[in-house]
Amino acid sequence: MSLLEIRNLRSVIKTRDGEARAVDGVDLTVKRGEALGLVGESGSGKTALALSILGLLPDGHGRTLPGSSIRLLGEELVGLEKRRLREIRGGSIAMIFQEPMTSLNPVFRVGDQIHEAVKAHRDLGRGERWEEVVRLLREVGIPDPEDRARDYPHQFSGGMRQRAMIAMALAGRPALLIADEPTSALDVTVQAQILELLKGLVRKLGMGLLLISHDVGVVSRVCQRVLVFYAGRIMEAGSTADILTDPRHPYTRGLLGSRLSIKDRRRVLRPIPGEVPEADAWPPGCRFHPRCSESWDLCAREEPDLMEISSGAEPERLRDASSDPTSGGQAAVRQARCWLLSGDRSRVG
Amino acid sequence: MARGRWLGIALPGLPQLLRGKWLEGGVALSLWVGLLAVMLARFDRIVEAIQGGVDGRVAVLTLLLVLVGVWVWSWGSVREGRSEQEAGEGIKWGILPGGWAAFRSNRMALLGLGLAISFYLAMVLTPLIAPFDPLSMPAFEEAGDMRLRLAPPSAVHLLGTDQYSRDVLSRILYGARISLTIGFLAVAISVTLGTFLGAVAGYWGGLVDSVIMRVLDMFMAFPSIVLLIAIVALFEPSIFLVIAALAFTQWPFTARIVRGEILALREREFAEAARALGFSRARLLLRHLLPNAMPSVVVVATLGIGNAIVLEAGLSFLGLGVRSATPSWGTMVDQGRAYLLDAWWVVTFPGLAIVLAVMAFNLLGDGLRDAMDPRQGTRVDP
Amino acid sequence: MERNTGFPEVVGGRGELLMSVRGLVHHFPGGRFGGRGRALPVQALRGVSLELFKGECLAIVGESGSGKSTLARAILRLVQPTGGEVLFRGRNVMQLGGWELLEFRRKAQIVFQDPFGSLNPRLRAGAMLDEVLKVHGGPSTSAGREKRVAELLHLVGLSERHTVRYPHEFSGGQRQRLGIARALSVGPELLVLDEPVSSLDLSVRAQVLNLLKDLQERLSLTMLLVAHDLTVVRQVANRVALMYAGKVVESAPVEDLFRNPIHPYTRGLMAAADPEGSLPDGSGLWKVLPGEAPSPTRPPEGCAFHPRCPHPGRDDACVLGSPDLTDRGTSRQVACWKER
Repeated sequence: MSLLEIRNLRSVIKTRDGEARAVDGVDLTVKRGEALGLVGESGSGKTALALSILGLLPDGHGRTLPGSSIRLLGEELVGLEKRRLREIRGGSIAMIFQEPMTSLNPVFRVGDQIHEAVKAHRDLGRGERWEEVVRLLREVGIPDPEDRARDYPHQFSGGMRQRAMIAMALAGRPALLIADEPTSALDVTVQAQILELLKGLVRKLGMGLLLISHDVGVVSRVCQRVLVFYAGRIMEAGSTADILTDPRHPYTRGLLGSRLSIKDRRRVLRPIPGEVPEADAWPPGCRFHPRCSESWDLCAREEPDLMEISSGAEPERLRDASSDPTSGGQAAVRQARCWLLSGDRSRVG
Repeated sequence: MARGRWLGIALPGLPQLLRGKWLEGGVALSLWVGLLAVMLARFDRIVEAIQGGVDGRVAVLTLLLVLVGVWVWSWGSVREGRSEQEAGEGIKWGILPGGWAAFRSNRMALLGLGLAISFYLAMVLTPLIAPFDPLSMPAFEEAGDMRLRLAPPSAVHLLGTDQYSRDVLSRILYGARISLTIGFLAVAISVTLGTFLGAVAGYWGGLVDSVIMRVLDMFMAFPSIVLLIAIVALFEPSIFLVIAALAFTQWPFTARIVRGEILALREREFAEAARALGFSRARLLLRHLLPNAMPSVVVVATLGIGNAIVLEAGLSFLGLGVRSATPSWGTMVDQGRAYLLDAWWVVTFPGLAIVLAVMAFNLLGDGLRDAMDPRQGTRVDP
Repeated sequence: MERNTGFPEVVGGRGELLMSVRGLVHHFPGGRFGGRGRALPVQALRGVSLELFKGECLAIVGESGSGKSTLARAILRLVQPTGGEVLFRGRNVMQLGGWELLEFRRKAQIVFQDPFGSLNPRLRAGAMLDEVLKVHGGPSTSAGREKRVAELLHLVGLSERHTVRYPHEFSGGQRQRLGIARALSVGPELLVLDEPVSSLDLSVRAQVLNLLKDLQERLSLTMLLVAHDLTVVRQVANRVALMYAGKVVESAPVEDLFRNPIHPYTRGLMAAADPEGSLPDGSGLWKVLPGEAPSPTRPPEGCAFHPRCPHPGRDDACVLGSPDLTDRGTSRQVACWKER
């Protein structure tokens, strides 16, 4: 049984003119000990996706539509009663966010905050709890944990705060960790350290990790599989190696093309033209087609399904119920949502 | 829909209703119908009023203005393809960045606005709509009927009569003028004063800030009602004194809030950007900082009106309020106290009026604050 | 908007010297608490000297706590440094008064990092630009200004229909363009950019970087770009100066720096940006730098980098004193005891 199984997740965000489908039919699976990366820009719906999993869409501002299924270790989370959901949050699933300073309470000591998390989710005696706090701090690489536990968040540097956040997330011994842009606010040297830490924790604790970022490089350092997310839908999926070396979907290619490496000398950059569409105004047909340099007529008329594609040979279209790109243990499964990659030439143009 | 236009001429609000714009249509139509009814039913009074004092003339003028206004609005908004006249607006400052849309989606706020407007409208039109003279005591006139004293609510006296056989409804209407006017003016002054002092304290800091804050602390150390009683007891209570006293005791609340807002806003990056652009300090304060502090001020102001109304009612209740023939609501409650068990309507209706008025302003304040927040609507950034 | 500026032209060197910073120091109170609850002063800048020539793009690179943002603000007199001087065309910026200061502001502008925070949330885009034009002697009629506003928007890749929008109605990339338009509306010679693309998505970054390069050429701008990302720097800058703990540790023309980074910190940054690659000079690759940048309230003794320095020659000399910048070739300077 997989750790996390999501089927047909659809969530809407309330806007001035109604409800915008921020997450529009997403399937994914995370297994124990697996790190799955989700690459998406702002406006793609990735944060809404992360919040949906934990049922954290603010009441009145967003909701997950019925018909969606999110199963953690077999337990259905959609529509779960609030009390049980609260137990799970921080317990079986933990989340870390982009801005550690705003996620930590500035008026409490770091150790106290972690202690609170331990108390809420674990069954330990008092002395044991404090030991656990120190152990957690040490595990995330904070030197002199006994002393640092007595500090306040503002006395920690940025990288240390993020580590503290991770410690707090680990307090409940989660089976799944969701990290939403965990390194974007950090210096480059610290980013590398945090990513290494996450990678090590996944290996050591056998946790599942869902890493969300707009930076393909960040995701590629930690995850074995990558999903490319755009306009509420998965556009391409595959192993990290495949996606990086042989991106198929035009959006993925565009994303990778906009990446800069320090080896790049000054040159004309070719970004993806245009902007990410607003969640309440997805373009008709393929959602990426207005910005795609290779689109055909069909792309503007009809939206492609997520199809399985294999390297080189004729692609086949999956017609069965699950289009989940991460299930079945075939890490090499590649999928893309693009007419250009479909073998159905008769329908094109 | 040309037909809509013609309908709109006869019955403003109807075309909007037909298009599904319940709110605008409903309000426009009821205003139109209601005021027309008043005009027809009270025609004689209108004639009287025109020849009478300022009071009456203002009432008639307002009546006509609102009627015309509703008609013009209805006719104008029916016009097809009303494009945003925003092209020119792009250069102007926005008062409600959250948009009118944000405000109207808040039902409670609309209720508050509706109530508040109704109150003020009724207040202005009182000479025309009050069924009786608030001071007339029919029971004590020649051939007066003593049964008119303490008469329960009936078809004639909708809210009953008090111990002097004065019509409660009319007294409430006339009393509104005192309570609502005092409430509004007191807050207008105290908020202006408080905003000014708070902004100065917050912006300049240092000694100026300390001095203002200490003065403020002194004021806030006393409960308002005690201060008010002291002031009023010292001087002859006139309407101006009461307003001044209220303003004098309430400004610290606004000042504190404004100071806090300005302190925070001063450090925001857009304030730094304005400095980098060489804007003068005055411009920065007046055009950039204060407008962003406005939402808080609005809330304080509207809550303040409610508060002022209650304080004024309290003063009047204690007999320290305005001395005039027309009573304030508080005075009515005071005078009717003795009859609470026998003739509950004498006390209850003025009391209800106070409650409704305060509630209206609170709801309005909430709604305005939301509407003035530019980010209303999207909280989750996908 | 050309006027008699009162700023004499200084000729000499390659391109004229536009701005020179000498020994800039900035301390301010209120940092983290010391052992006994005392507030330690924040030493944001500990003696920075550099030169900026007309037409070039100088990048200031550093991590948090390096002082780069403070430097950007200090040279524009948005903070008053506690020591040292900043000369713009030979005139001391800190001593300008009245209309001279306003003149200076017209010539030197800044684009902030956070496109959302730096825009007044209650001002529509058009109104914002209109106000700047009004204050700085733009067209005197409303219609004239409207036209200029439209021009400015087009210049940064936006359009007239954006005049009516509020900041929250724009995307991140668009807001940043708006910030650039605002800075350009006064017609500056010098544009300081504080991390202009850090908060933007990768694909949007490329768009904005293209815009900046384009604008630099079209308007002959001199740019001071503050960044922490070396990849961005290589795309846009002509020269680079790296800062660590309030001081400049290395400065070089951009390609020279990437081909041959000298200072151990520079090499460490390159390693972090390109963990799988190796350094171009084949000098081997130092691993990810340990630890974090020091807090500006507690700069280490001597060379501030020594606690993290992987240089094999690191020794007690590094703790004794803070090295000065020494010349190491054309336009190259390095501050390191071991690399002299």
